[in-house]
Amino acid sequence: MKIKYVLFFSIIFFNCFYSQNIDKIYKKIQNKLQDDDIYLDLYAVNYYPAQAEASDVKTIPLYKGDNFAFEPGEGISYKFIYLNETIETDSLILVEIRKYTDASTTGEGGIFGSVGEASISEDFVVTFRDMQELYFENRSIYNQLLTTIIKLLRETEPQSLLKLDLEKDNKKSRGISAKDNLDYLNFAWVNSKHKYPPLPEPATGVRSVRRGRSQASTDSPFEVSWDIGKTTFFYKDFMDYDFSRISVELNMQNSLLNLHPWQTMTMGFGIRNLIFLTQNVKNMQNDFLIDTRIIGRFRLNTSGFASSIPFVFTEDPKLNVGPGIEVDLSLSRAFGFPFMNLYYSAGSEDVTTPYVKVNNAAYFTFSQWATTFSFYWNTNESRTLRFRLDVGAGRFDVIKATYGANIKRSLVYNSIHPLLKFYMNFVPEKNELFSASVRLFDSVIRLDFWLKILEFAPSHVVRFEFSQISSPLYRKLKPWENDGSSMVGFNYRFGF
Amino acid sequence: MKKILLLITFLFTQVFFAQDAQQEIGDLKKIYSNLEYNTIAFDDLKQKWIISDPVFVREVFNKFVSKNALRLRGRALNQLTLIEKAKEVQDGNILIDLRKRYYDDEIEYFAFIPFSEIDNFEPKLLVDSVDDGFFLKDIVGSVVYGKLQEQSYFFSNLTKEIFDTKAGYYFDVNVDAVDPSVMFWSTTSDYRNKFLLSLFGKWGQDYIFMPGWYFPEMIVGGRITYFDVLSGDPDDYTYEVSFGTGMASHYPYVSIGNEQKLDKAGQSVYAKISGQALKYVMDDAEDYYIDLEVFTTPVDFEYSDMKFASTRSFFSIRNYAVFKVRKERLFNLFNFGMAKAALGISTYSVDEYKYDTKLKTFSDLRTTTDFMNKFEHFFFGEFGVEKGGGLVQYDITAVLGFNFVEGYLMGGIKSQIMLSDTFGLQFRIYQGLGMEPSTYGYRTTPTVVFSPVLRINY
Repeated sequence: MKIKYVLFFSIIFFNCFYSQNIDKIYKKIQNKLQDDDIYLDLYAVNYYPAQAEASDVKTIPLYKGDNFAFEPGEGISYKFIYLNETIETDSLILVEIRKYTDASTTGEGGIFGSVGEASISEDFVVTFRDMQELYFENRSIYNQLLTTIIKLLRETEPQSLLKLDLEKDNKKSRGISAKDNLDYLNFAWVNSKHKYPPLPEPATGVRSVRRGRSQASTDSPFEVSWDIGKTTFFYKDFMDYDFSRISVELNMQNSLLNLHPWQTMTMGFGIRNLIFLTQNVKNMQNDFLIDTRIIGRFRLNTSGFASSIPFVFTEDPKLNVGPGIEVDLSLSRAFGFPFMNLYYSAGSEDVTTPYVKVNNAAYFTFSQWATTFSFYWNTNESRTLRFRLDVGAGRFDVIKATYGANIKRSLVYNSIHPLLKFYMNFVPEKNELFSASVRLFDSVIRLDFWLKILEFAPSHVVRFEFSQISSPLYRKLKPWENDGSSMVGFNYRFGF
Repeated sequence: MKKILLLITFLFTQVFFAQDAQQEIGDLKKIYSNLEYNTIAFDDLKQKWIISDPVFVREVFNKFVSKNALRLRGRALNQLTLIEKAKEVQDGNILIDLRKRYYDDEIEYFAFIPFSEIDNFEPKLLVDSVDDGFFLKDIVGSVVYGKLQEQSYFFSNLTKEIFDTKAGYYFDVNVDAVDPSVMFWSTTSDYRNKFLLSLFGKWGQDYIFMPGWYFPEMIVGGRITYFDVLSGDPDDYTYEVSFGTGMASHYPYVSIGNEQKLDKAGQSVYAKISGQALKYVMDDAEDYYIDLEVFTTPVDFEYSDMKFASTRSFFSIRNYAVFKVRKERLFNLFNFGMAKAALGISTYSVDEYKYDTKLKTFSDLRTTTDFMNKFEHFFFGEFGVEKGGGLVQYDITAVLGFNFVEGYLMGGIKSQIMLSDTFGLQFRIYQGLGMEPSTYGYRTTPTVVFSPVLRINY
């Protein structure tokens, strides 16, 4: 008798004892299924009442004693939620069944009839606990459900309920560098004062998302860039050919010398031609591109007011830049070589009329050349931070003319110097925000910086620009050099 | 007998229900732990930190107490154990160890850990850890959970960052004043070999103990490097051939002392060949390299080629040659790196010139000296340690040379230290030992050369 009592009470006691532990685990799991809507690695497969009608399982006993029956009717569908095989589970595990009711087709709606837009409600009709109790207590029904799902999976693709965008969130420890012209084009679209054409739209007609450009801006027939140092102009109807684009340029600056605009005492006017060698602008990303500027340089006596211009902070210029022709080439990757830049300028070497003198002598520069390789890289796939490094050499001459009874001229400077320029562009979410560059040439550091401050439709952009040229590092100042200078200004861009 | 039967009945019932429940609990735990997207490959990179603010630790611990959520080996604590654990928290000896999920901000690991266990690889925790952020939120509440996520308290960040220094062969730009180079083209002709084309600069010559700007010419030229099988180490080439020419260079700073002692007196050419020559004649000789460098000045400058402002005399190193045999990966110094060593011989010739601005002449002052007598020779040896990979890379080598013509020693260190193989510093210092500087007018001692280094490699 006592044994019977002990047995009876033991059953009750241990049943309650272990049930409490199991209840806690079920509660944890149910919590997770309800609250974690991003990381759950679950799948769903659709199940319709018609399929339920044809199936052997029409009702499912629930944990609390009720039964769940698949309802017929339009606008009602079900989803079986399951967990795929994992390292610790060697078979598919049913998790839940959810019911979806489309209110519009079921005739529900406001008092004036069905609501115009469909509203789908979701109910958890068979919970995880119900399903697990089915597994442990009613294995045959569970197995029938499992068989049903396996058959469904042969016919339909399951949906993943994982909400992580794994493709977007691919992380890499090192940055990337494009093998084609993409980095070169990205840089040009953001920094060049001449317009680069956008990438053409894909043949399917889906609008391509070219980095940083809206479709509205690329539709403008005009492109204009203006700042105190350079102005460029392009008009599509007259200047756009299948294999090249021509734009005009007016500038007051020199690409190589450590001088700000207006300090050079020259004005340049010429054209820029962007050539696609295969004559196919649609293949721009893989094409061989040549960006050419041919500028005629004229002398312009700005010596009187260069130091008085409110946006250029410098002493009076001391170096007379001679007139001539400038040729500036940028080549995309020919024969697998890096991107290459070539600059050459030469012209008449007339020293009879200097604009500025230093102690009865005048210093002139008539020819300059520079050649660099450009290397591009980015910190990540979204190319938020973009870098470029130009490595090369440059050279310019300085001729001293002494004025007396006769003009005596002598070559006082004619050295090749390494040329290094480092650029950084910050383009978050494809929005060109700012750029900075630092250049070392002839022991002088030049800093350039711009920041976008205004943008308004259709394609007007205003950037604040700043430039600083240092005094020479680790050597004495030469007679034709200024002890540093700064410049601030604005760049207005339209149609870029 | 009855008592034994009662006991057996009791135990049997317990075991029966226990087994059944354990089976169910085990299955449920497996499902629970597999609900999430598995990111085990990123476990060491997930955001990890430790909370050491004792007041905040108490607050969180008390949340666990009030929710009766403390467990030790799966079981709830009894009163005595709770008091014991609470005492450790009160003494301030308990930290909280946390880890976030990889793709979002939810916490995936939470544990109370005694301070004494913090340096153990598998620490003994105060109580069982919580491996689900949503369960943790249920225990501590959304406000405290939010604070844990935001890290708005005193904490120690232990998030690991990857420092990857594997070599790339698309381009390699090495910007420094002493050994700049730009690898701009590469190709593979067979299986996994590699040809690289580079432009290089070389300022100074370590093995005649005139590093950097103490040598009056910067050699610039081109180089071809060949790997018979691509290597993860860019210095592990099969052979390398370089040609170049010298360009006049000067001290990169305004001189406040004596003027530069050495200058360029003609147009020079340079050649170097380096490679694993011995592996073709000996087995297991891949780590042996033979280097031969030759520098000569076949063309003399004229007076008009020199641009000094006033009359001066100066010395010029017109020729040098270096022959060196080195062994890489001599032995493993484990965390400190790999040892390497080299022996070699170098020779150089010294000429003396006078540039006279009044007479407008540029003349050799040592025309009576026999050509071979202008040469001085060094035996030299070097021993160094090199470490790659990880966050910090370095190459530190001690060099010692004996000038067996004049009988003096030169010794010093050349080194390069890099961070992530991207930013770094080169440094060289050489000192003469038993050498009278006045006797050797062309030498400066000590010589110190340094340069920042920037490397971009893809």
